[in-house]
Amino acid sequence: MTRTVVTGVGVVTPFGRGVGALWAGLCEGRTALGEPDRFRADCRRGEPVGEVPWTVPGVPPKQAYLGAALAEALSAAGLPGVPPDALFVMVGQAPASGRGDDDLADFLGPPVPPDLDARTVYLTHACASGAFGLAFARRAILAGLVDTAVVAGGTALNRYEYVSMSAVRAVSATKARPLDRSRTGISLGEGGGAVVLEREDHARARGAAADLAVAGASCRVGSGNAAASDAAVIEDCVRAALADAGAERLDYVHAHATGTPQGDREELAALDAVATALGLADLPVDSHKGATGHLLHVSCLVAVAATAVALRTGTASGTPNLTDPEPSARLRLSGVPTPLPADVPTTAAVTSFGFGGNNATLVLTRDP
Amino acid sequence: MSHSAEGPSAFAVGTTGRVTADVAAVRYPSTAAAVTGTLDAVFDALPPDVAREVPLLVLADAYSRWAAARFARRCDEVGRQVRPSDSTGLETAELVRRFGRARGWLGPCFLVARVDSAHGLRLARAMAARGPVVMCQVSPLDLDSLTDPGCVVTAAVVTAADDWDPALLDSGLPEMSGARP
Repeated sequence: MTRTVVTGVGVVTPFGRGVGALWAGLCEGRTALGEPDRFRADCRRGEPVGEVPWTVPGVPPKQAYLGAALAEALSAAGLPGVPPDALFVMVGQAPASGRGDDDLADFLGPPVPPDLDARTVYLTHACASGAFGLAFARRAILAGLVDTAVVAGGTALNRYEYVSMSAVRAVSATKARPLDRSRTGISLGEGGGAVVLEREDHARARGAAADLAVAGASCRVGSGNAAASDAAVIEDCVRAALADAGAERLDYVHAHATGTPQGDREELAALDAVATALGLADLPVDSHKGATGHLLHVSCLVAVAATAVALRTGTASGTPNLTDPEPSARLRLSGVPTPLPADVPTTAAVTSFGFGGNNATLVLTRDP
Repeated sequence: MSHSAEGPSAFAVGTTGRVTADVAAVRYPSTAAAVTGTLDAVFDALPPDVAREVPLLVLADAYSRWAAARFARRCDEVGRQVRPSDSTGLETAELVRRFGRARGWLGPCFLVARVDSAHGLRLARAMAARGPVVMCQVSPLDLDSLTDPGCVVTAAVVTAADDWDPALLDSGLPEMSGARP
């Protein structure tokens, strides 16, 4: 059976550049949410946000975050650039229009790097776009269309997406507290993400790391509600992804868990049901969104980055800002790092959901 | 639905616009109804167990741009608050969510932009190596609309062995464009 492996990951988050900065922030239980220096939209009413602590003069933030994340992912994969025959999958709301003010430029796009224009596919699946993009790239590799695919995106704080989330009363007045009993909503963040996927034998032939696979995926649009989460739909989505992977165990979940009362409740109910079905009594479940905020279309790329390190280090990072976890008999909800199985093959699920009934789960496996 | 020995095994065109004698299209009252009716016509041609989990590739470049531009204009409207329905209406997935839910469809779905019909068909044929894929193109008619833009929808079953012309997916666009719903 052909496998699709992750050979490179890159992120930009409110902790700064790189997977290392993200991982350190998560494991230290820090939050980068706070008062922004640059984001000045009048629709924000003092709520904390996750702002990236640097800019590139003359480059729109979204484009800068995409570029930095892509550079890190390619470097980690040992590639000098996106290979000429690779598929480039961009994720976001809609392709860049090339016109409009700065807010519109940060809402759409970002622009595709010119050398990648002809082989770019743009996927739009709300806050689950990164997960759908990875599932699409994996399918393209398994179909023999390409040996390598790069999935990438950027998101910058902007008035339009802030208004969109405010309109559905999703934004919390205080720092997001995913999985916590006192949670009141999301905090928005910004950044970028990129993941290099390759066919396993292709990666091994050039000496790239091939220990981490995207072994299964479930990405559906037709089974959910327009906005509200649904435990039964989520449970079915997770189980379908595990079945697609042929997974016989589940060691870790990096949850979508944005910090909304309804969304987290339904996701926890779904994960509890999955744990019950698998006979698990202590399944670690983390979320990064209390640390970085919700990076919307690229949030799953950040989740994959955190999950990759978790599996490789045998450590669940814990969920920053989590101090009073929802009670659960089967799920391990922790604000501090806890151990994962080490030196054995491990399996993780990454969940990702969005408006418009977008529901996705990726299954990552690692063979040490 | 039209069938052709040289074309896809199932192919359908729906529109909210003008129906002409040149294209065998079905007219619908709204974009949502056109997408649902057109997909239903193609899904009905598949065996039920296949239709339940068949992958769907939706070419939605113009629609995703329209939805984002519409939302931005709603935000910029003076004296009108953005509503929750504006937030959910921003998502291209709303094109197929109701169809999928009503039908109990559980297949993977990919909503793609920056892909024309020829490129999309190449992707769909490659992805059809392990079974058929349904491909759908949604082309909005009134890009300035703040409500329903109207559309032309084409949908087809794609298999790895197909060699039909991707121009088929653009059927009806010249005839129906400019017609408001």
